[in-house]
Amino acid sequence: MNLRNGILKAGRTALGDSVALLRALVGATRAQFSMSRRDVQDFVPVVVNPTATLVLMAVFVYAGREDLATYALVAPMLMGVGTTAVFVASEVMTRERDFQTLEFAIASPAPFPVVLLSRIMVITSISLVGIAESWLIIRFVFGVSLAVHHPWVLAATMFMTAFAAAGTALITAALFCFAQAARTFQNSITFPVYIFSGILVPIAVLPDWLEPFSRVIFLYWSAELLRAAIQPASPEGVLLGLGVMAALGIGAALIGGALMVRMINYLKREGRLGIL
Amino acid sequence: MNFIRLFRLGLFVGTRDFTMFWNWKTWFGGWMVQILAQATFYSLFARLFDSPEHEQYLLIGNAVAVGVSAVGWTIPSTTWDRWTGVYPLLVIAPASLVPAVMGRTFIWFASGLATSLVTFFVLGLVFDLNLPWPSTMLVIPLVVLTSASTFSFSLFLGAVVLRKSQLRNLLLTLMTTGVRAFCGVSVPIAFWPEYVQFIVKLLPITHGLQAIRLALDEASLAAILQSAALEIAVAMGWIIIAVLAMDRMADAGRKDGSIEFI
Repeated sequence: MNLRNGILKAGRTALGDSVALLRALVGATRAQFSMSRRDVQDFVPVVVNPTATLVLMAVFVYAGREDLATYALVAPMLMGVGTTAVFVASEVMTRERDFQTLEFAIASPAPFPVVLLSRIMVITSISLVGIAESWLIIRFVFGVSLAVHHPWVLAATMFMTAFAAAGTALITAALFCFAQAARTFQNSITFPVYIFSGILVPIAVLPDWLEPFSRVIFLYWSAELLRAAIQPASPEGVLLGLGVMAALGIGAALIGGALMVRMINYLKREGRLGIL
Repeated sequence: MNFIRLFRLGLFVGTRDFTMFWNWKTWFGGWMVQILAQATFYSLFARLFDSPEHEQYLLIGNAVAVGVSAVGWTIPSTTWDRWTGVYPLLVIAPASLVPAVMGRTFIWFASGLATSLVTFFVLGLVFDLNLPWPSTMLVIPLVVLTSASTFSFSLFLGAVVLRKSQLRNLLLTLMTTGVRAFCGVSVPIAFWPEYVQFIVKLLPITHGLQAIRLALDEASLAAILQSAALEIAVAMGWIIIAVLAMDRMADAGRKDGSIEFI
């Protein structure tokens, strides 16, 4: 009887915790939607995306290579995802600190890294709109029609891209908020990563020894799958690609979460939480 | 005299702004890494269609275009006085706002000039660009010119963001990518419709970049000077508009009581 009561009690507690966590997730997502709606900074990559598409498509059309339009569709969106992760999502925590709302967020019973991850996911998802913008520009400015032959691969890859970007941004959010020296890193990282991940420039032009580095960047897998989703040929290695992106996203989120908890504990211990 | 003194004091503050972001180690190890990667990224994709000529075209164009993204920091930096609460003091001072803002932002002209020249010569060495002697030396004054016209245009956009500070990063990024798309960086301007060509001829770097390409093609000095003169005209035009706009924006802020609010 005691055992049965114990199991029931544990079950009820676990259910209650899950519901509370879900409520926190939904609340954080809704809060971020409201904040992003009013902040033009969150939409900078979306506004800039069309000009990046124009640059690439103009070169392809000028060279008589409209068949490379897939690159002009995929690369600007992934650049938008990268820029959003590094320059917008990574600022969420710093903004909380500057506005002195970090203390309330930490004091609330919802786990802070989870709340932050869901907020960052909203911001990184905004940049996915870029693919629709690029498609419209390629279609109506340059008259090139791109059919998506594998929509499910496209949708799954886009979701996984937003997730992996959010996980990665959790690490940088913690670093930028607490380590000023990491700011230099913020202004120097994006384009080297875009080159190494082959989102536009073919990996083949890079030295061979760099290839293993490309494979640990989620953008590499994302670019490969997104381009494959648009081609008529049946895409290969979809599950592998999605699996690697999921693993990279989870790994980054765990590292980012641990880093954040450690830094918050440090601030609590040193009594510096309310002090900028 | 007063203008020079205010400009010099503004430049002193601007230099401190710059050194808060960068020292020589982080400038070379951080900023220039990003900039060289950016220029490479937007040039090496010509290898997708195996065109060394177009790759060379893109490398030269992007070496100049990266200067725009550096000089463009002028745009957000005009708003920094608002963030620090100094802007109302500048507005109520009996002097014009122009020399103070121009002085504080001038450091980004120097940064852009250095960025562009370093990029040009590093890419030239790494990708074995065709750099004929001595006409390549003309690139240096011509990059000074493109940086100056970008500074003038950025100052005008800076005047705009004095009123709408939330647009600062958006305008910087739009200017950088817009120049790359339309001003002869990636494809000749003749590629675009005529009305677009008309607009880009009024924008910075279009004529200056053309002069640089002519110098590297060892064209006649008259042709190079003609393009350079057009770039000078564009720079002068934008600096006049920027100076006129700057104090007007402050006046408008004073009228509607928005000076102290960001």
